[in-house]
Amino acid sequence: MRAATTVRIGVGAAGVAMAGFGVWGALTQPEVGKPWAIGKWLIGGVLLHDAVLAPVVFAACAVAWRFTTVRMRRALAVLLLAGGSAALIALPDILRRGRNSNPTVTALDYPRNLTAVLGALLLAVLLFTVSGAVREQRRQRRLRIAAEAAEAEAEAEAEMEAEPEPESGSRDVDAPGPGDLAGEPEA
Amino acid sequence: MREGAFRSPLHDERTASLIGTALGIAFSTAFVTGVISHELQHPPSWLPLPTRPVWFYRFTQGLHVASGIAAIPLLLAKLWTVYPRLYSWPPVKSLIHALERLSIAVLVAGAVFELATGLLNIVQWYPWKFAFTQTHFWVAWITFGALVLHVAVKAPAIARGLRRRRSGADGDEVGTAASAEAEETASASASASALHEPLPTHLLSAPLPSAQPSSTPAESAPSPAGASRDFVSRRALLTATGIAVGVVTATTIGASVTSLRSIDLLAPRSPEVGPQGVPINRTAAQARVMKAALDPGWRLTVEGPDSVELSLAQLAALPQHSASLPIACVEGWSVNAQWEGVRLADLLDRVGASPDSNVRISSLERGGAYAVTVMPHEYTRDPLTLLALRLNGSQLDIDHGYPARIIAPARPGVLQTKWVSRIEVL
Repeated sequence: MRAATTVRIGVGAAGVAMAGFGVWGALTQPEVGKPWAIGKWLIGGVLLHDAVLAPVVFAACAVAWRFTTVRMRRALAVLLLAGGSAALIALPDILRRGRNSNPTVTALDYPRNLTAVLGALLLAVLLFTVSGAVREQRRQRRLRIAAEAAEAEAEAEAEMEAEPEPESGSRDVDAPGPGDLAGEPEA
Repeated sequence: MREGAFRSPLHDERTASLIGTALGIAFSTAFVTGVISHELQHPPSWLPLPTRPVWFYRFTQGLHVASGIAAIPLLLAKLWTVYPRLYSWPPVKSLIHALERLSIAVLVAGAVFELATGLLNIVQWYPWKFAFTQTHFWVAWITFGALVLHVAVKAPAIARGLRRRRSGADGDEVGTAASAEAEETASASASASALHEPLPTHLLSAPLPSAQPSSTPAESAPSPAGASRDFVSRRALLTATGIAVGVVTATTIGASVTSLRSIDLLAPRSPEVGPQGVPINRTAAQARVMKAALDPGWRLTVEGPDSVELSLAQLAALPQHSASLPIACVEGWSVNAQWEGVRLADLLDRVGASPDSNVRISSLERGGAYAVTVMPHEYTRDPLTLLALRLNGSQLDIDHGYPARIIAPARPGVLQTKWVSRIEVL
């Protein structure tokens, strides 16, 4: 345990040294530029994420929560993360398209390509979600029929032997009940 | 913080550890390949430079840009997971805690900065007042240093997060396989508070878990067993993150892995778009060399013990060699091409240069960071290093460096000097 702590301290110190080297380089090396010009972008990036992007995402999720089931939430998570990332990396391409006198930079039709990527993603997620929902519904119907059959059997047995001991085969209790898809949040 | 604002059980140690590990791998890859690129472009004299495999830089720089792009969804997912900690209360508990939070701020700022500037650089967009290359390099040291520190500080939490195999949020039945970890969980929550982890807000309002068997993992305690099914499971979040990484990688990797160019949909470059089927970094017009390069009076000066001046016709009359070499740009695109021209070694022999001499190569370009480059002797004597006159079977296009350009194995594209006018033995 003591050795592990020593290693941790050593690694942490190495990290501080590397970061210190970076600060030294950024402040002293020629051609880097004004520290404030870099600082603006460093701080701006954090603000853009923490004060703009994240609150918007969390607020959107809170709104979506009211209208979605867990299955839809899963689909939305994929669309938001994968579609959002694709849109984010395509954004500079789209904004700069045709602005560079070198025609081999931003060489492709990005609005069309991004639409195709997002469309394919949407289609895949829809297919997966709908097929999953259909499979789930069938499973539940099978379970219900099995449960009803077991119940009927148990009743029959009870009538015949007047000794109720229904050890029926529906141990599959972790299957979500009908209420699960409703997904109401706790207050 | 409003109670229950961050209800998902995925703002937890295990999710943070798993996504964090993937992000750590991506950042480490980008850092190492970035340092390699920097050293190749500014070689220290003591470092032997690799000339084989010829695709060395193509590989490392393609990996650099790919790992940076892959890190974008990973960083978004990681920040989503740990975002509630931004509002941990009280904000500062001790000097150590303040320093730790400061290091996190540096890490987040640096990570966002590196990915944003890198992403804009590959479309050659520079809406800032600092030099991209140097700043990207030095901020990488700051960021990676902060990352190493972060890993050291969080090592116990990371170990716990990676060790715990199952919990309610994994999509399995809550409580299974957890009893064996009861002891571990107990120590986990103990050290969690020791590390100033903010308590999940629901834990304060939820009934105390003491009534339940202690097998309930700490992280699923906030949400009662039934409600946790309402949340997207950890497996689903990790799958979504994986899909996002897959989508951004697949749609951009074709710019360097040319066999995948058919799905290169979102990369700034297409490996086919360009004169003679090869992209270019800087056109002749941008470099303002049109007139000088097309001047029939162009001569190549080779300066050494027996200096010589050669016209294009004289160069073409020398023994020609061909080499299949990639042109690999710092911006991540690369493409293999067939080059033909005079071996640089032959030219250096002709002027009587010693085998271990470095050379300085000047372009017709006036100004510009790469108008004059120094080529270390590892490359100058390589039989594959050419002063190329032809590309893919025809005369060099003006944008590819007509009348003559340098092409050497395993070298960054910006150092493959175009529109060469002078070669000096140093």
